[in-house]
Amino acid sequence: MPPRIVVFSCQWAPHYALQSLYRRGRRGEGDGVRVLTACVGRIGEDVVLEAFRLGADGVAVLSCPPGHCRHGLDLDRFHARVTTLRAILETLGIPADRLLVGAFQPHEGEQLAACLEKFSAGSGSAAEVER
Amino acid sequence: MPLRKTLLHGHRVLIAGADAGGVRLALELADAGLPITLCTQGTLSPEAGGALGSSLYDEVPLLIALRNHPGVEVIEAAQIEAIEPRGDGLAARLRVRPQPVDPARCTACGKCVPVCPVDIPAAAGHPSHRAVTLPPADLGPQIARIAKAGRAPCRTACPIGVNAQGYVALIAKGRHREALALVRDRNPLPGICGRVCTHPCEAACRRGEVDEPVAICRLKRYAADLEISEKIPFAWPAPLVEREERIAVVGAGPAGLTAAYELCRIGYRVTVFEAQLSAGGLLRSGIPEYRLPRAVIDYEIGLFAAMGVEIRTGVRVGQDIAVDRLLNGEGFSAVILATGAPKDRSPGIPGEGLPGAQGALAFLSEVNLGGRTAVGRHVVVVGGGNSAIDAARVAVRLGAEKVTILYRRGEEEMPAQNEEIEAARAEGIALRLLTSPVSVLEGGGRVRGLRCVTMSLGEPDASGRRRPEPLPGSEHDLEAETVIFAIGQQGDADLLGGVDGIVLDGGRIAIDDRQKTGHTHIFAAGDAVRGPDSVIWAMAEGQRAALAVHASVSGETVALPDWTRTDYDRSTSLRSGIVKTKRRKVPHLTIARRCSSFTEVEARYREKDAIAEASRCLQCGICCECGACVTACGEACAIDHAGTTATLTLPLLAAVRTDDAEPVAAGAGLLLFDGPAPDAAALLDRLRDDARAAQRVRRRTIAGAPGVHVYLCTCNDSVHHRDLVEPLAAAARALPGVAGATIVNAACQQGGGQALAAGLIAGEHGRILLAACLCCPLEILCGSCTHQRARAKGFLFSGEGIALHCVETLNLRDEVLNQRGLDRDAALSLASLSLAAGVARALSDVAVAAGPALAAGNGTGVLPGGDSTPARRNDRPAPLPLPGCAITAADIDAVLCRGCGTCVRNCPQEAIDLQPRLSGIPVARVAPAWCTLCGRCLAVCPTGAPNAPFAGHRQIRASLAAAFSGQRP
Repeated sequence: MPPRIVVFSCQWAPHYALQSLYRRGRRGEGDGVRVLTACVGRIGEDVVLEAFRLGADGVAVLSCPPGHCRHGLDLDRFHARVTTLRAILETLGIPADRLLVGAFQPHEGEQLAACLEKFSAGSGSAAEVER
Repeated sequence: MPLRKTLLHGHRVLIAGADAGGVRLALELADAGLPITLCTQGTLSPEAGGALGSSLYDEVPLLIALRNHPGVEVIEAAQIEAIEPRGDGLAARLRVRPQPVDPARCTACGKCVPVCPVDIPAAAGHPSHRAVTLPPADLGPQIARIAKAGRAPCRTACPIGVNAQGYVALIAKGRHREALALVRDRNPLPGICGRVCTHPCEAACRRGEVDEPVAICRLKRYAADLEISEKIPFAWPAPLVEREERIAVVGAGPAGLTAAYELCRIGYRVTVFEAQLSAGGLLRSGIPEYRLPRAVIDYEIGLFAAMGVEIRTGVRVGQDIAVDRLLNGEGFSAVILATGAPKDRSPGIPGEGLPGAQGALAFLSEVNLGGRTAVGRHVVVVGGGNSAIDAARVAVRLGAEKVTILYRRGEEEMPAQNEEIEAARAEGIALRLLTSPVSVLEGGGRVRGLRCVTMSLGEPDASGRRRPEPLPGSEHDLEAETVIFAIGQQGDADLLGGVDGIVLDGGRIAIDDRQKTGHTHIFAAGDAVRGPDSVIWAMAEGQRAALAVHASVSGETVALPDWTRTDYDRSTSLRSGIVKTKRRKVPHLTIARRCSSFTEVEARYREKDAIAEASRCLQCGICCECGACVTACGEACAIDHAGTTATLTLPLLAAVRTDDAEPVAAGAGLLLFDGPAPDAAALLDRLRDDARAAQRVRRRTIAGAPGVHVYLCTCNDSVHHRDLVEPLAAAARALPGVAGATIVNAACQQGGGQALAAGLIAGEHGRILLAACLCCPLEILCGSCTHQRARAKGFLFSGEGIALHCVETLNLRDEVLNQRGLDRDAALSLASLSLAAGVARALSDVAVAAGPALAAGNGTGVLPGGDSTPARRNDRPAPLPLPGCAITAADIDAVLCRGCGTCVRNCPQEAIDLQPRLSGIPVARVAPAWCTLCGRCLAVCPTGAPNAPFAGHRQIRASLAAAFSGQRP
């Protein structure tokens, strides 16, 4: 049975990148359960933990690159959350590399897809594919 | 206030030019409530006009927003002819070329592209493509584009307006049935015309500037013959309207048959009266079988009965029944006289009545209808037209040893077609030019020869041809046993004796410019009016007469066709790189076989030759208007080729010309007219403020029954996994909380939007899940948004006034249904999962600050929250919503809110402020009137207190729960 991946994606750059791929015929069944958000700055520890609690094998959080936030936000607070989150995951016995955090430009659809596939395949640690 | 007045009177701000500045200015002013018209010479796209900057991701949403802004009218392919002061403002005069694709209806389903038969070769870095293209969604609003350069010369040269470019293009793609249907749209006799037409289309063909014209006529014959050989008769479309009036057509030749065809298509009941025992007129009696087999005539005239035309043969109108009686006794509403020119003109020389001398029509008629099989050993045919050639070639087939054509001018002046002259020569017929008969010589009581005189050519006469003049002393004799005069034909005036109002002019029926005789209900067409002419011109007359009768009988305004009108510019250079290719020849009988039988000389093209020949077409008009795209578009009805260039006059409040626009006669820069020289900036600012206050979206309060209604869009019946849509709809109905599921053809069209809104407005359900191509139901336009997504939102939210919180969306099209790589099972599984998650999101409780429905009827209403509704920090009063409407907004979960003020600082609309509460810790509160649901508060809040449709806290949790619950339809 393939791993169940939850992908939280900002509706801006990474969503655009994935959409471009779909329009070009990418098969989407390996891209996990996609949850679109207004901004991944919104994604807190609670929903990530909720995903793991429900049975996700991995959680990916995809954001716009630093400096490209549509809401003009810096993502420092979000990254601080990620650090906290990883610590919690370790505490809960979930390896930290099962949380992927990536930032993608709109035109980086291929890189994003490759990253997700690698993460989904579990062929390496999340740290290796993290951007 | 004067400005209001001008706005109410429809005055607009014209922005000429669609560069980045023009687009942004248009949006800004439209957002401020000013009605905007943005016009551009090209199309509104970054690649067409270079309108926007380098970052398509950033800029394309602007174009989409512009396309879908309710306050913006975009006019493409427009040229500003003038901007002038008028009345209390300005007026702009725009010349606008027709745009075949309606941006408000195109679903970007792409079905129009593969059916287009026109290939545009690769050029200037652009790959080859069809005349119809669908630009990628990431390059701008995705609207099909159809490249046009006007009607092609071949098409405008055709007297009956047959779309030659279109049927040639279809034949090039092997689509001969569609090609034939296109021919029949104007021409009911394609097999006949494919053999005997004088093909003015080929004379106009621009391929002739490169090597030889495309064999348009023979390609038409190819398509027509295939139908006969396939034995699948053409199915005529039924007329749109059945009319009670009956129309009589006198004469079943090409003019009469074409008139009958047109009238029948319009819905009239038509009866054709033919004096001969078989219909066809001169087609049957005057054209030899080796050029036009009787089987082809029988087949094509036979189709008229299937169409509903009654043909009564053996009835000689004027003799068996009077013309007046058709109107007064038989109950016909109008009569068209298409009696042709069935009588030979006599040469008026001594001996013309001797046995052995006769006219060409009489001779051909005896052969074609009477079974004549003999002719003299020496035959002389007098004349230079096609009838002369026909008579001569028939004489050869009847066994004449020597056949000579006598013509008084030179070969260049001969009216016969060149290929006919060449064929005659090939069959051994001699041309004796610059020779004219003086008398017929008699011997033994019958013809023994002709006395002739040699001619020389003088100055051109009225016809433009040089006048032949006899050379004194050049008389000489020619031996002949049969002499055939092919020097012209005339009408049969005996038919028309005594009919009131009918005037004959030199043997022809006199008509006005709408084909009407002096009698109110009698019209005339064809050779009876024009004198002897080609088949295609007779048909054109029939077509005109039919439309004139329609106008007269129905009382409708009907313009008679002028097929020569075109926007095509013949002075444009042909594209470079055209490889010279010889015109494909049709197979011919050998000379020996031709001369010994009446078997048809020319065969039809073989398929590969027909396709190769048709592929030589240069597609001068680019789009050939064959209509295949219109058919493919189907229910969406987004394509219409009927438009013509039009001049628009717009009343203006202001005109702004950007750098991208062409110079205009007046109005450069910003012009504002309203009273004595108002200050432009202040004026716009005031208008913007007024408009913003007035245009707050007036949304309906939805107090429907609980439950979600699922709508699945098929994108104009185009999604790849179309067969999954019904099972998904059925399965969706089985999901808990789903009130129903409906399949819609195109949610992005106005009708689709209305269908989606209807259940909400009627209170049948409280929310809908739209499983189409929309990612989100927010009013913002992000880089991923498309024209169709924005349009669908516009119809729902702005058009129908549906509150955002009533709509949940799911991009089932791009993420599942259109993924060709997914097999059926995988697609069904993925779609089911997505549907379940979408329904869960839709069912999650979105607490909006809408409050109760507002009191109706007093024109003012009260904002939800009453007096405590926060005002904006600039102390402007919040706008008042209309009665019966509520405004939705983000809401703040007071339990989660820590009162940190992050949302207050970040809200771009200044819609949030902090309210004190008993604990002393303030709580954020949203002013619904100002919230645009941009989602920024969701993004910045450290605790997840704000909620909004689509991406709120509860929606995310609901999505996750559904995805992991195994809850699949």
